[in-house]
Amino acid sequence: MILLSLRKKMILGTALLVVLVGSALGLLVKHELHSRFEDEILKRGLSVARYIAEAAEIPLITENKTSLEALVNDYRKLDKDIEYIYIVAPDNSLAAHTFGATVPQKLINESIKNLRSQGRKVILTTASGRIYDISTPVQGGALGSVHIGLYESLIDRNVEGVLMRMLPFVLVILVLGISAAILFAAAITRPIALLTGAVKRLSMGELNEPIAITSHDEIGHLARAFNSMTDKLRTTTVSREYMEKLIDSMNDVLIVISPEGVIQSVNHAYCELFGYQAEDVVGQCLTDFNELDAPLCMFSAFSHALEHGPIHGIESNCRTDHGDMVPMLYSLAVMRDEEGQPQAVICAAQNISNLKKIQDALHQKQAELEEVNRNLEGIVASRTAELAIGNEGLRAEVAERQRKTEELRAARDLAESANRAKSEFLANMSHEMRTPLNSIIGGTEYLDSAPLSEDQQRCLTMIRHAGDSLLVLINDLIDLSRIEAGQLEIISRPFDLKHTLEQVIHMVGQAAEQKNLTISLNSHPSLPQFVKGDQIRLQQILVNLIANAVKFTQEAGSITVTTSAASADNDQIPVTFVIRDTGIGIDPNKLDMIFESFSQADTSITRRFGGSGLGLAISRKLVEAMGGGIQVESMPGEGSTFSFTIPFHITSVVPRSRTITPAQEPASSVLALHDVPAGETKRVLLVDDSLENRQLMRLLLRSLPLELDEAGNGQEAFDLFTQNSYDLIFMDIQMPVMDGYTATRLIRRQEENSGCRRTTIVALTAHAYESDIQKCLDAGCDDHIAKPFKKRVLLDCLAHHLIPVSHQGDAT
Amino acid sequence: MNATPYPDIIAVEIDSEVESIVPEFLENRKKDCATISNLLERDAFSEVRILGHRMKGAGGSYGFDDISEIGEIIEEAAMGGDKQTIASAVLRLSDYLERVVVEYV
Repeated sequence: MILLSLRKKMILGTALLVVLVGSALGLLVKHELHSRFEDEILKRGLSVARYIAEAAEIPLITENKTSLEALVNDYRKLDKDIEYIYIVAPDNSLAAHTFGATVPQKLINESIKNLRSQGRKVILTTASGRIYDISTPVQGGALGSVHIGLYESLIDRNVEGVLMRMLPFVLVILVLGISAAILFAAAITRPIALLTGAVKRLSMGELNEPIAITSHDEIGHLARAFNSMTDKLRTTTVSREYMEKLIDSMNDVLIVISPEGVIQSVNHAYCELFGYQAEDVVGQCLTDFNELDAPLCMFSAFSHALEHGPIHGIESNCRTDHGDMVPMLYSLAVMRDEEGQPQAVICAAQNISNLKKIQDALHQKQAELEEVNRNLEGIVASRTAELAIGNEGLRAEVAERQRKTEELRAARDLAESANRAKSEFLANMSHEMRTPLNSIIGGTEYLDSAPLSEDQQRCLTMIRHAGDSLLVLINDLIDLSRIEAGQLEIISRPFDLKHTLEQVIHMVGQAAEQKNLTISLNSHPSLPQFVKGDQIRLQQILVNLIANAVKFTQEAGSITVTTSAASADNDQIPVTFVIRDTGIGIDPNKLDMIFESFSQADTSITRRFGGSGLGLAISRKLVEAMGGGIQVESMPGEGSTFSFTIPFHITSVVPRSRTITPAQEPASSVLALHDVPAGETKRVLLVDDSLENRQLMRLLLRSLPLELDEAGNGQEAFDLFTQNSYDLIFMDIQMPVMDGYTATRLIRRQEENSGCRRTTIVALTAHAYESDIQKCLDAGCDDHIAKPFKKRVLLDCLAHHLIPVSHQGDAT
Repeated sequence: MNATPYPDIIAVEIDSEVESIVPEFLENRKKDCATISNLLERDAFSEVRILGHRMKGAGGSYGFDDISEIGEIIEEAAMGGDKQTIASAVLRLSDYLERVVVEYV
C-alpha cells in the first residue's frame, strides 16, 4: 500500500475526483454534441435533398440529364461538406451524380436496399469512414429520389472544434479544483496536526498546554473535548516523571516490591542510607539478601502484609552496606489491581536513630527530674513552713496598720468635728452675743435723748462706741464662719458702680474727718457707671479696706481711692480698686500673713487699734469668691497700698433703684416724712398674712401722714391694687392663697398692661438670705426688709422711697 | 439698763406705741405652744413650720428677739422633721413667756 499523508491523499483524491467528473462530463458533452450535430447534419442533408428534389423535378420529367448533372455538381461545389449528391430514377438507375468517373455502385445499392428498412437516413460504412446517406423522394417517388452523402467525420470535427474551445475552461476548473482541494486538505489537516502534537505532548506528560482551536466544527469540538480531557487529567493524574521526582525527594526510604518478592524500585533516600546503588538492588529477589541486610530486615512482615493488609509502625535494626546497624521504623502497604489482586507491596521506612537518641536523653532527664522532684518536695515543705511564719508576721503587721489607719481616721474625724464644732460655736456665740449687744446699743440710743451730766454723756458715748465695735466684730465672725461653712452667696445683679463708691466714701467720711484725714476718690474715665456684680459684697470690701486705712493713718494723713477698668473681654470688664494711705505701714515680713484669719501683723495692733483682725481675711475671701485677687504693698512708716481687681459683667440694664439703704443714714428720715407737704398724704398697702404684724406696722406708722390699707394675702393685695392707687406696698412673701412673689408679678404685669406709673414694692420677709433678696428683686420688688425688722429700718425705707430727693437733702 | 437682779425674770423693753397689741401677741404665743404640741403628735410638720416662720418674722418686730430666735429654730427643725428640737424649743418658748416682763418705753 502506498504510504501517503492524509493531505496528499486528500489532494490526489480531490484531483482524481475532479478529473473523473470532468471526463464523465466531457464524454457526456461529447455524446450530446454528437447527437446534436448528427441531427443538424440530417436536417441539413434533408434540406439540401429537398431543395435539389424540387429543382430536379422538371429536368427529371424532361429527362434533361445535363441539367440534372449541372444541378448536383453546382450544389456540390457550393457545399464542401457534402461528400456526394446523386439522383436515382424510379428504376433505381442513376439519373445524375457527383461521383465522377468511379461510381460506387455497391454504396448506392446498399443505400437503396437500406432505404426501405431504415427510412430516409441510412448509415453506410466505407473504407474512408461512415457516411450518412440522406434521401428524399421526388414527387412522392414517382420521379425517383435525391441522395445526399455526408461523412460522419464531419460531426466529429464539429464536436472536436467545440471541445477544443471548451478545453481552456476545463483546465482552469481543474486547476481551481485542485487548489481548492489543497486548501481544503490543509484546513482539515492543520488542526489534526495540532491535535497530533498535543497528543504527543500529552504522551510525554505535558498537560499544561491547551490546543488553540476555536472553530465550531467537528475539529473544534474535538479540540475542546481534548482540552477538557487534559484539564481533567491535570487534576487527576500526575506524570511518571513527577512521581519519580516526588519519590526521590522523600526523606523517608521507599521500596516497591512485587508480590513474588522481586524488588521493583527503591528511592534515593534508600540508596543514600544503606549505601547501595539502585541497580544493585532493583531486580533482586528478597531471598538474595542476608536476613539482617537492609531490604530483608524490613520485609520480615512481607508475607503477613500480603495476606492481611497494611502493617504500621514496626521497629527493626537494619544493616547498611558498610555493616552499620540503623534503627528503622517502617510501614507496609499493599497495592492492588481492580480485581483486588496484589500488584506490589510498598514499604515506607524512617531512620529513627536521632529519635532514639532523643528518647534516651529524655529518659535520662526524666530520671533526673524525678530525683529533683523528690528533693523539691523537701524544699517546698521547708519553704511553706517559713512562709507560714512570715505570713503570721504580715498578718500582725496588717492588723497593726489597720489599727493605725483607724486611729488616723478617728483623729481626722475628731479634727473635722472639732472644726465643725468651732464654726458652729463661732456662729452660735456670735448670735448669742448679738442679742445682748443689741440691747446695749439700744439702751445707749435710748439714754442719748435723756438729760445726762457731761460725765454720764461721755460714759454713754464710750459704751456706744464699744458696742458698735463689738457689733462689727461679731458681724465679721458670722461672715467668716459662713464663708468657712461654704454658705457664702455671691448675688450678681446690675448696680451703679460710681454711686456705690461715693456712698462708701461718704460712709467712712465721718471717721476720717474726726482724724482730720483727707479722702480722695479718683475714678478713671474708663470706669463704667453700671456693672453687674455683687454690690453688697463690693461695698463690704471697700468699707473694710478704707476703714482700715482710716484706722491705721495718723492725723492729717491722706487716703486715696483710685479705680480704673481694663478693656472688656468676653462680656467681662475687670475693675481695679487701689486704696493708698500714708499710714503706719506693714513690716515686709508680715505682709504674707495679714490676709490670714485671726492674724494681725502685730498683736499689739489689736490692742492699740482694735478690730477683729478678720476684715482682711474676709475681704480676700470675698474678692476670690468673685473671681478676683487682692494684693498689698507696704513699707513701715510710708503707708500701705491695697489693690484688688474684680471681673464684673458688662450690663446694659440700668438698676431700678439704689436699693440698700445704708444703716448709718440719719434717723431724721422720720422728720422728713413728717415734713411732707400737706395734701401729699401717701397711700401705703400693708400685705401680711399675720394680723399681728399688720397691727404692729399700723401702730408703728400711726404718727406718719400715711393712709394705710391692709391685705391678708397676695390675692387680696392684687384686688386692692386694681381698685386703688398706692405709693408703696409692703409685701410679705410667704402667705396662703397667693404668695408675695406671685402678687408682685401680677401687679407688675398689670402696670405694664395699663401703662400706669410704677408702684414701689418693698418685700417684707423672714427669708433673709441673699438668694431670697434676689428672688424678690427678680419678681419685681424694689427693695427688701428682713423680718424681724426694727422701726427705724421701716421708717428709713419709707423715707427713702416716698420722699423726693430735694426733701431728703433738706432733711439732712 | 436692761439688766435685772432677778434672773428668773426676763425684762424686755417695748415701744409704748405698740402697747395695745403686745398682751394679745404674747397670749397668742402661749396658744402657739399648745397648738404646736398638738400638731407634733400627728407629725404635721408643714403647719409647725409656718407657725415657726411667722413667730420668727413677728417676734423681733414687736421687740421680742428671743421669740424670733425660737421661731427660727422651730421653722428649721420642722423642715428637717426634727421633733425633739421642736419640742425643746416649745418648752423654751413656754418658759420665756412665763418669765418675760414687758416694760413699755
